[in-house]
This record gives sequence, structure tokens and C-alpha cells, in this order.
Amino acid sequence: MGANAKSDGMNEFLAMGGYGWYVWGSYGIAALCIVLEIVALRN
Amino acid sequence: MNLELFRFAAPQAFFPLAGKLIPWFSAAAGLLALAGLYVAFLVAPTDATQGEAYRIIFLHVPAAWMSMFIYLVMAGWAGFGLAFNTRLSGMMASALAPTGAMFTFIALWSGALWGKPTWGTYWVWDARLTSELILLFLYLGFIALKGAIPDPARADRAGAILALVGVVNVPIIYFSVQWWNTLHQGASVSMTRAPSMAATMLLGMLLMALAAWMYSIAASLARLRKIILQREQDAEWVRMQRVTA
Repeated sequence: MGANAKSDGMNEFLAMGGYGWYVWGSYGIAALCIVLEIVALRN
Repeated sequence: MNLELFRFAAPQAFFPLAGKLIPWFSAAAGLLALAGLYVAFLVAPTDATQGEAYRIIFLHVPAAWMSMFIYLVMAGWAGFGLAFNTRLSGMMASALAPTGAMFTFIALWSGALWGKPTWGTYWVWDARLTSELILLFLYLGFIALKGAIPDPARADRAGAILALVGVVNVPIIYFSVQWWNTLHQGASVSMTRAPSMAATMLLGMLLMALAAWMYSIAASLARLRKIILQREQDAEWVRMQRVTA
């Protein structure tokens, strides 16, 4: 039950009140850009 | 001003200094981003009207600030190089452009994904969005123009003129929300009045903005080192570097 409560909290966090795609889509692409730039600079 | 500092205007002297600075700026960027994300997602309260969608602000606003500020610094270095014919200045401008373009893209992308739930559309041709898109084209044009001219000195001059002409776009972006009737909201943070948001929201935004600053410095110094090695490849000190590395 403890684990369920935890995963519920996590799911709720990831859902972002129904705005998950918008919020994580923004941060995800930004993170991808930064990772790609760092990889390009290291080579 | 300490004349000793001018020593670093020589690519050969700046190269090792940049190398020493990069880890510090990278570490600062990482720590500030962690603190900023912590405040953005775990401390700042849910917005009363926008719900959780407003959390895009912690990425969008720092990226948009950075996109304009990097352009100003880039044009500043380009103009300095044009006026005083200093080699390192043109390299500085080249080193800043891709990171500036990246932040412009992030600002546009996160803005689109924020616009959909709040305005009902990913894109609208209003003054703020259109002028920010022009900024992206200016960065890409600057990179393409410099890449198309094989002689570095000529590339620096041509790039500088493009960058300086494009500078006029930055105040247009910044003031577009006042000058025109835009869908985009006005400035959230201003020097002249109290911020229109909760203190924790402001803190999260400032932490993320500082992280973006530190990251931009680290990334452009790293790119500057690559450019220096490339341009000075026939210089004695670069050949020595290759032998020892």
C-alpha cells in the first residue's frame, strides 16, 4: 500500500494536472537540445 | 583597468584560461539547474488559473532572456572585432551563436507548448512570437554566412555586419508586448515595479536563469576552444599542443 501511494504520487506528478504533454514536452526537448550540444562540444 | 588582462586577448593566452574556467561554470550550471528545477516542480505552488501548465515559465522565460542577451553579447563582440580588428572577438561571436540559437529554439518550442493549453493555439503571428522567430533566423543566417566564407577574417567582417544590423530586432522583441496589441502577455519581471508573482515562482525563475547563464558561458568557452584550435592550426603553439596531448 505504501508503494502504491508512492506510485500514485509519482503518476500524479507526471500527469501535471492533465498538462503532462505540454510541460514534459517543453522540458524534454530542452534537455535533449542541451545534451546534444554537450555531446557535440565534447567531440 | 589592469593591463595584464589584455594579455588574454591573444587566442594563445585565452585558450588555457578558458580550459580552466569551463569546469567551474559547468558545475555552477548543474547545481543551479538542480536547485531551480527543485523549486520549479516541488516548491512553487500550483497556479490558480493555469494549473500545472504554468510550470513551463521556469524554462520559457530564462530561455527567452538568454536568447536575446546572447545575441547582444554576440553582436557586441562582432562589432568590437570589426572596429579594432581583434582576432579573438570574431571567434567569440562564432562561439556564442549556436548556443544562442538553441535558447531561441527552446523559447519558441516551450512557448508553443505553453500557448496551446492557455491560448488554444501552438502558434500565432503576433509581434512577440514573430520577432523571436526572426531572431532564430538571424542566428542561423549568421552561422550560415560565416560558414560560407572560407577566409576567417572576411567571414568575421561579414558576420559582424549581419549581427549588428540584426541588433535592431532585440528591442523590437523586448518591447513588442508594449508597442503592439499582442496575444503574448507583458513582462512578468521588471526593474521598476514589484514582480507580479509569488516569491517562490520568482526564485525558481531566477535560479533557472542563472543556470542558463552559467551553461551558456561554459558551452561558448568550450566552443571557443575548438574554434581557436581550428583557426590557429598552423601556429607553433597549437602544433605543440597536439604533440603533448
